[in-house]
Amino acid sequence: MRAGGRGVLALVLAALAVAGAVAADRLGPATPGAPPATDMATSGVWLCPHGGGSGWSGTIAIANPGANAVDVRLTPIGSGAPGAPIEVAVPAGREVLQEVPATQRASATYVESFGGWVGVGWQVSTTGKEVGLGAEPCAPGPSTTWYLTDAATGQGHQAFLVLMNPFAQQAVYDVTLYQPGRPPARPEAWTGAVLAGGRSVALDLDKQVLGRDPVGVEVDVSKGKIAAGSLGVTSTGGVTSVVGAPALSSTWYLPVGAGVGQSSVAVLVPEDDGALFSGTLLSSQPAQAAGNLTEVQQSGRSTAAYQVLTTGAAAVQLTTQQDVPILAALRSAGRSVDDAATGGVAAPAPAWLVPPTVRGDPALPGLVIVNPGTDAVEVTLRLLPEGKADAGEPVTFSVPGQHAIAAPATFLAKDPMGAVLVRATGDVVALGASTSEGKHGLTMYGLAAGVPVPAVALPAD
Amino acid sequence: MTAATSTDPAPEVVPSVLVVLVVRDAADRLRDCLQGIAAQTYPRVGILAVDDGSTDGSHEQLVHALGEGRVIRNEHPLGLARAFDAALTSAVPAEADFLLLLHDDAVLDPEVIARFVDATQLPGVERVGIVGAKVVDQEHPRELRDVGRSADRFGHPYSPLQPGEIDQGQFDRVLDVLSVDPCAMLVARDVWRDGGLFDERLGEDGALDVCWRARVAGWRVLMTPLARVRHRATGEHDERPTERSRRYEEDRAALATVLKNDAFLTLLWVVPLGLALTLFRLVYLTLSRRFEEAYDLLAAVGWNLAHLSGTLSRRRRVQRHRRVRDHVLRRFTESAGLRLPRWFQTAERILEEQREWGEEEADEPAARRLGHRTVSLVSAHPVIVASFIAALVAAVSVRSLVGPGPLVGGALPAFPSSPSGFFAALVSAFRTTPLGGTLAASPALGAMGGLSILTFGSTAIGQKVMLVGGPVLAGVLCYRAGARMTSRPGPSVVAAVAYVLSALTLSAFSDGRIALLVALAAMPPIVERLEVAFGSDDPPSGRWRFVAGLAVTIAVAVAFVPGVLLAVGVLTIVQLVFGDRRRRGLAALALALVGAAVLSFSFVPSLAAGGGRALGSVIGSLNPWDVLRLALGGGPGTWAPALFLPVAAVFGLALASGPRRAPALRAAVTASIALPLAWLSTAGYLPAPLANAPVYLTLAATAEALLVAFGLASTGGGLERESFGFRQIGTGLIALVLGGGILLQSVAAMTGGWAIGGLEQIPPAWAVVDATSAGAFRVLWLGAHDGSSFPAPGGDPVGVVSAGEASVTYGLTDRDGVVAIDTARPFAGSGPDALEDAVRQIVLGITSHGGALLAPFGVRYVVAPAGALPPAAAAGLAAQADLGAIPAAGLDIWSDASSLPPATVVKADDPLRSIVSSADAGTIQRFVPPAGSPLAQVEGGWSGPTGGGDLAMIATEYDGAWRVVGSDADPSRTFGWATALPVSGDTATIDYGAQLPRTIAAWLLAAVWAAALWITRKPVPR
Repeated sequence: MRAGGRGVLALVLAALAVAGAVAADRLGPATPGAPPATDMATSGVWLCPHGGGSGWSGTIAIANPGANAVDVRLTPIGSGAPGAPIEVAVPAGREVLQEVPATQRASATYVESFGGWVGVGWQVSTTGKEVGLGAEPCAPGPSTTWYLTDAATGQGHQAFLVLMNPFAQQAVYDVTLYQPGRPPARPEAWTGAVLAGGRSVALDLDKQVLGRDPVGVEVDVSKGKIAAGSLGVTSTGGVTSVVGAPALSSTWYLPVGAGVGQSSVAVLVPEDDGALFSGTLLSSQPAQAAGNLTEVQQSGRSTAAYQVLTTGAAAVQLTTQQDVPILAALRSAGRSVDDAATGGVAAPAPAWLVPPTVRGDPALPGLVIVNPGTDAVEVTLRLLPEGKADAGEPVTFSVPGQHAIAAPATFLAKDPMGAVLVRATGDVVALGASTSEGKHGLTMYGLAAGVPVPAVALPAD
Repeated sequence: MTAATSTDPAPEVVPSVLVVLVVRDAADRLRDCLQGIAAQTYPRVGILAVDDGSTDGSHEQLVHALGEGRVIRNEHPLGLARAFDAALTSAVPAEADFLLLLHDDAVLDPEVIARFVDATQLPGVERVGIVGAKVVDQEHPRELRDVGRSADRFGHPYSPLQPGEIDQGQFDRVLDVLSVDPCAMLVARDVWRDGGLFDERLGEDGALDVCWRARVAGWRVLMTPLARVRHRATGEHDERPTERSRRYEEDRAALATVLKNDAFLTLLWVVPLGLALTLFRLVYLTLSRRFEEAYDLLAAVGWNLAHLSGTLSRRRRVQRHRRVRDHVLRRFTESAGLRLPRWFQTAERILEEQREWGEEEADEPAARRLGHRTVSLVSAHPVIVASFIAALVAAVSVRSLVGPGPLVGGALPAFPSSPSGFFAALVSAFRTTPLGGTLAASPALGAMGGLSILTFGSTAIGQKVMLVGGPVLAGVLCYRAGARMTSRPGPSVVAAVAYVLSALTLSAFSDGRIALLVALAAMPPIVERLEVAFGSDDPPSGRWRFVAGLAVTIAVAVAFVPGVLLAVGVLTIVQLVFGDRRRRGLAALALALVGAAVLSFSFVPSLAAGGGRALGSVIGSLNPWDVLRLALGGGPGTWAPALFLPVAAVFGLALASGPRRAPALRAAVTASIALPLAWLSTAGYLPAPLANAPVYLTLAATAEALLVAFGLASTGGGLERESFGFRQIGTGLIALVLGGGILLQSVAAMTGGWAIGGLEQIPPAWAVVDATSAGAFRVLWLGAHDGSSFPAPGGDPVGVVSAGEASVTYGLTDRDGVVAIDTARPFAGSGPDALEDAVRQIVLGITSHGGALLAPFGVRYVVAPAGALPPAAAAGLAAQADLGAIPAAGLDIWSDASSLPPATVVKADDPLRSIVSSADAGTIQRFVPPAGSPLAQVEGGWSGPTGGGDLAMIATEYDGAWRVVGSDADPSRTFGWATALPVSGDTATIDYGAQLPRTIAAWLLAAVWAAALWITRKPVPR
């Protein structure tokens, strides 16, 4: 090869190298390979910071909408060492109601599922000096941040913040209390506080911010992970409980039903800047403004309560402008001494599993389906009964857009204690709203939002 | 010849001189010698000859010239020392004032004896005991051979002369020296009467001893330049074979001389220091495969030990006559044997050359003069100049690494606390590092352990020596490869410097990748030897020795970086396409690979484990421009100027001519293949066992450096006589690129901050893991699949967990991080497979019980670079209920607080036994680790109290050879891969019951390596 030839060859190779680099730059790395087929170790956890009290009873409702039985392990958590685990198997398409200890304000239950997905909710109730029912879905996992806003420490109200840490690692947390018209409080005792592994604690909010309604709570966990819930007890005997929200949202759906129609929407704006929001009342009637919730300006780092009147099945859709994140909860007055509360949901979904909100007979089970969209959706309800009760046939009905309607009472009456699987052709929100016990079944009032069901957990149609 | 006569009556004060001539088989030169004696002008000279068993007619010549009475005949050769002693037994020497001890190959100038005697009577100079001559070469009388000698502290004679130094009168003054050349040495009567002459045990090397002894007794030893003696060059006449090397004789005599003549207090420090230096020499000789020289050195020490009693008796006699303290003699000794004066003299000579050139160019402009001088200096002494500059750059570059503490940071593996840690891991039948198994350790551990022993048993020093020595070795071997392929030292030096300063070498050094540095050192010899194997010429060292050498080179490289086999594969393909003698080359390579396999026979199964997982590497750069400039990632010297090497290689290819064209073409093709392979490796387009970006980059860097050597070697000389054209432009450009690149890379090396260093190189967040946790545990490292390594001390990923968008790289270490005893050993087996599956379940978010899945592996922490994980994997981890995030700056850390220690004894009930006996992740995720009693890792296994437990759970791969000492119970497999054993009592000791085969294999391996190194040793001329 002559000198010129070698020079050309060198130039060609250099050009090829540069061209190759350009091509490689554009091509990028290979698409990651799909995971190889392997046995799936499906599992999930639910954390139920339900609280309780002396003489109270607690029930964990575990519903399995899937096609295969799921093993579940429940571990009672309290201020002492964890209780012995309880292992149950939840048959496909069924519900298991498991009694758990609820004799401490700090009582909680850690639920682990293996082999499939289950939906879990709690009920705590008492018929002694304190009378009432608290029902909520459990938290679908631990988190390092929790928000609550339904607590009240006004006269006649006692509010507790229930924190649970079922894990081996201790948790270190800070609590910030938001209140109407005052700056947030950071109780020293609850700053850098340690919650040992396998323990739960109930923090008495009245000792820090007495006479406030509503009280908003932010829990920041710097080490470990926990779950938080609120427990409210009124001097007249009512019980409310709401599971905390791990994140804020600019939209909240707060369904309600079965009460007397007087509700209070509590809003927490933890950001420094205030929030401008409006509420829309969705019901069997055309959508309208919810009470005075029209372009309400709430200052930052504050809480406030807004009264809303409803009739029958309804829902308050709260939306902020400019997507400012807030937290909202709804407390509804019952027909007897017991009130009910719900944290609502932040986003609609096509499938929900609604835990039971009925304490016992007689009962008036109710279920509210909300369609926040503009088009009507077909909704199918399927009962997941406890034990060997007859599930009956699914029921399907239509929910117009921007409406909230109650599920057929006859369908729910087949098993008032059963969970309900809600599937829709569009995104909806589902909430259990029932009264039970006492004369005419009106004493205990419970509201419990459903939990969205992941697509992989749904049985084939 | 009779006694010398003179026409003038000798005054009575004239001392008498007896010439004692020792002759052996000197018929061809005796005439000159005798004529020299006969021509002496000194008036009182006698002669006595000793024929030391000559068989060539020398005896007859002596008798004919001197007469029967002046010739003593030894029937058998006794050697010089004994021959002189034989002469002294006669009565004649005792009558002479001086003896002139003369060799038969020395020719005296006529005035020699007179000048000798004059020297003994110099005014103001008393007690002159020994006088020597200015000795010049007989054939080339202008060439100096000896002008008197000093010695170093350890008894090695030291001459101020350079080889071939011309006599310009530079030594023409009477010098007070320690010793003189024994070929013609005047000795006063009192000297030899009191102290004797030569130590017959030391042979010809006893002259220093004689003179030193005289000095101790208070005699002066002078060299007078007025007496000139012509002497044949050493070895010209003495062709008798010797059993030992010349160096052996010197070392033997040196030690004996010191032991005899030094004062006791001097010996107290000279002997220990001498032994230390001997150890250093031994290390050097061993590492450079000069085994025979090493043996000779040991033999010299051994001879002195064996003859210590004789030495001590002679010492008593010397010390009895001592009149001078050692410190008085210190001016005749050189510094502690380090030969620094040689360096300075070399520098002086270079400066002298420069001065001469300067004088020749006195009329030239200063700038031009300087240019000429620089060019002449560099072209005449390229290696010296490069070594000097490299030493300066290296000294500045590594200044921050010098210190007593161990190095950490980058991907630097932690060394065991003592060298025995390497050998224990090498011999162990089971793997002591995470998840155990029976994969054998790499033979590289033997090398690292051996080097650690040689560095005073300190693995910290050994680590630094390997790290700093790696680039040096790479440069030296690249130079040697280049020099062999081009026969031009200058271009090879430039290529080697470019190689050392390439982005790859600098980043490997920065990250503390000792194994990669070894690969960088081994790659040039591999390329060069494959060129020879497939080339048209036969190997110069013989075919079998060549094959053995190639096998050793490949085996060494593979022992540190198994992926070097991929480079060998690429080179083989290139040679098969472009080589000259393909069949012969292929045969040689096949034999070499077989040889390498034999040298690594116990390690071969490790190489094959996991489908050849050991061959691959997941580190590299996804940026193709990084790859072009041979950069693995970031770090000093990986910037844009690092492109100088590939750019210079392009010029090198263009300029290569003549016989260098073909190898240059092959090097260009090699680099052109290796670079894309490097990128494809990191980008995930190659199967895991074939993906190894560091190795491909090493191959590309070697090929590019050799292209530089080929190009420069083809341009050397005569450019100014050619018409201006491509060669001139190309030469200018390549010089510009190389000069600029080397300069900038040197600056980067000297000013850049290395990733290795002190404890500050460890992310502060690591303290969360290391400082706050007690007991043994393991750390699972996760990272993005982008070619990056983990933060220190995580080292490099050992594999990839394929999980779609959640795919991550992973590694598993104990709290010390990545360790050197795992060098080249793949993370493969049932344990790693189970771990990969567990990680996959976690990052995919299938399970919420990642902590339970990781608990059997002893994983207490999951660590990832902050924010580096793919979002899907991060979400999967966040969904793990039983993994708690720990706030830490710079690292994402999750804690698995309920994990098991790597070995623990638990109280097992039926539900627990049911879970641990399962291999199904769906069952294992229900695992709630019970409290247990941890077992401590001890040599050969684990041991500790049982705490009342009845089941020992060991997070090491199941093997039926595990046993509880004192129990017949069989082990059982847990979690599908780990080991459990039933235990009872208060304490339990668990050991491995199949150690013997591995021990035998280790000894066999040592024997095979010893044989291979012996075959490929550097021969020593006798």
